[in-house]
Amino acid sequence: MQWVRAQSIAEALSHAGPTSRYVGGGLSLSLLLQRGIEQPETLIDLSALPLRQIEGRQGLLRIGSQVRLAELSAHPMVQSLAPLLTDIVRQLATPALRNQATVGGELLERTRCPLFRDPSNPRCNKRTVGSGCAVIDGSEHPGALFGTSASCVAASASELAIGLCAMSAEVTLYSPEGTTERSLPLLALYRSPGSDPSTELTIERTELLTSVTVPVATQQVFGYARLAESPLVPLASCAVMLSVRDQVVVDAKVILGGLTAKPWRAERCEPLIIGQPLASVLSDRVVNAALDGAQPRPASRPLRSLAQQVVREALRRAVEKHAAHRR
Amino acid sequence: MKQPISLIVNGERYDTLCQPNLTLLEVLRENLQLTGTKHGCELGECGACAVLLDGEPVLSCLVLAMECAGQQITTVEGLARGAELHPLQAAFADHGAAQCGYCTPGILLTAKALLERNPCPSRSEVREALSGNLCRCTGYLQILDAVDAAAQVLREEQR
Ligand SMILES: Cc1cc2nc3c(=O)[nH]c(=O)nc-3n(C[C@H](O)[C@H](O)[C@H](O)COP(=O)(O)OP(=O)(O)OC[C@H]3O[C@@H](n4cnc5c(N)ncnc54)[C@H](O)[C@@H]3O)c2cc1C
Ligand code: SF4
Ligand code: FES
Ligand code: FES
Repeated sequence: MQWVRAQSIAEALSHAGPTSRYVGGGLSLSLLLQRGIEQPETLIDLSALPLRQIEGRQGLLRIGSQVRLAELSAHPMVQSLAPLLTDIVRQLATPALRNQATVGGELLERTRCPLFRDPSNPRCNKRTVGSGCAVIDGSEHPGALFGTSASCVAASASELAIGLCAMSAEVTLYSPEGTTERSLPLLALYRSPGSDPSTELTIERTELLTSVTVPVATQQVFGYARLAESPLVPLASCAVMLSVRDQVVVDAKVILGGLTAKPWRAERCEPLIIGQPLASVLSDRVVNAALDGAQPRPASRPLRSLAQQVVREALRRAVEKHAAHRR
Repeated sequence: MKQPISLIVNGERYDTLCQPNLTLLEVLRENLQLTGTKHGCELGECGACAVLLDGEPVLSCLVLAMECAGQQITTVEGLARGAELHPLQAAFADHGAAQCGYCTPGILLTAKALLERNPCPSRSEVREALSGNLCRCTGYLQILDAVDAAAQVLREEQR
């Protein structure tokens, strides 16, 4: 195994290949390396790259992929223009983890499925396609409720992704094959497991994520809610964006996380909210619609009520924020 | 393949060879024989392994050693001022804030970083800063009292 501290994006890309991994903060990767679940030949350290800035211009906030989560939540521009992100990051993991974890690593982290991370478990289609799935075959672990398949029910890991998807963020990527950057809506970065759960992403692991861009609009309000078993393990979370004009919701996004195979857009909720007076957003009809597309197994059935709770709470917080803004 | 690495720990430079997948905790304890940093869960959940990297707490059980080249690392061995205990260490002893002592190095360093950033933290700020450091012995009250007391001593030293 070889360590390369890349001095430029071009140098980082020149080392990328099927057996390389980028190192953001290295926290998530190091655990998988120690357990032999990831066995790359080359580790490409991104810490010397000029990707640690946060810039605001023309209604956009651009966040470099090497920005540490603690820096993100403390940044004055983030606190004033994207307080949702501060809200999410302050509840995420612990202060020491947030000092080291990067925005890129948090978004591209692999699943937290405990049986994926357990090298003594031989049955994991994500590690070896075709080996089976110990969670589906009777583990007590609930797995995810949305976006799963018959081969894998792992939940996606990133809380930050939930918030950034609600904000319609885009990511900028460089690939070793091309020298120009491309951008992609963050939501489109994630995939459901289908019959090949080996990757959670629609991009190659050789692609380098350089920044995340978030549009910031004044008429939008956000709400975020999370339920956790311990402070460290999110079970269910939801981020909501409401765009409000004259007390009527003109646009909405409801994104579920924690119990989803990828950041999950609760598409059935959104049309029930759009065009409605803000005061009627918090209805059972909307909350129940969030369960559309749920694929409960016996172990994950109890998660249904958690999904409803976080949707209700995130909506309530968004409505409350709107009221507070007007005061 | 082992690669050469220079680490700056408590102001001193150490040159060693390590595999790129080794954590800072492993290199501190095994290559450099600095065993004051403790290994607990090695999952990022307990904070026993916390050290300072350029002044901020990180978990050495998850940070890769190679990432730390060229950065200032502070471990508990670097806390005392010569023969004299650091005010945090003295306060922890006085308040019974260290019992089995396993969590203590990580907590001392996390508290040091807090007090450097914020010399007069409120109880809830101390609690928040230490929220990733678990202690099975003390029930935390003595720890919070000790941090308060040390903060006072440090403020007086600054006058
Ligand atoms: C105890 C504990 C509790 C946690 N709790 C939470 C929680 O509540 N909510 C939550 O969301 N997360 C949680 N996490 C996850 C934590 O936030 C992640 O481990 C961390 O954000 C990973 O960031 P990193 O920079 O260290 O990633 P790395 O380990 O560096 O990278 C992760 C992955 O992304 C790839 N990568 C990194 N940067 C790039 C890039 N720029 N371009 C392309 N690929 C890249 C790496 O190759 C690797 O595959 C928790 C983790 C721990 C250990
Ligand atoms: S749920 Fe997915 S990641 Fe977890 S054991 Fe099954 S196949 Fe592996
Ligand atoms: S040993 Fe590092 S957090 Fe527990
Ligand atoms: S003193 Fe024993 S764990 Fe804290």
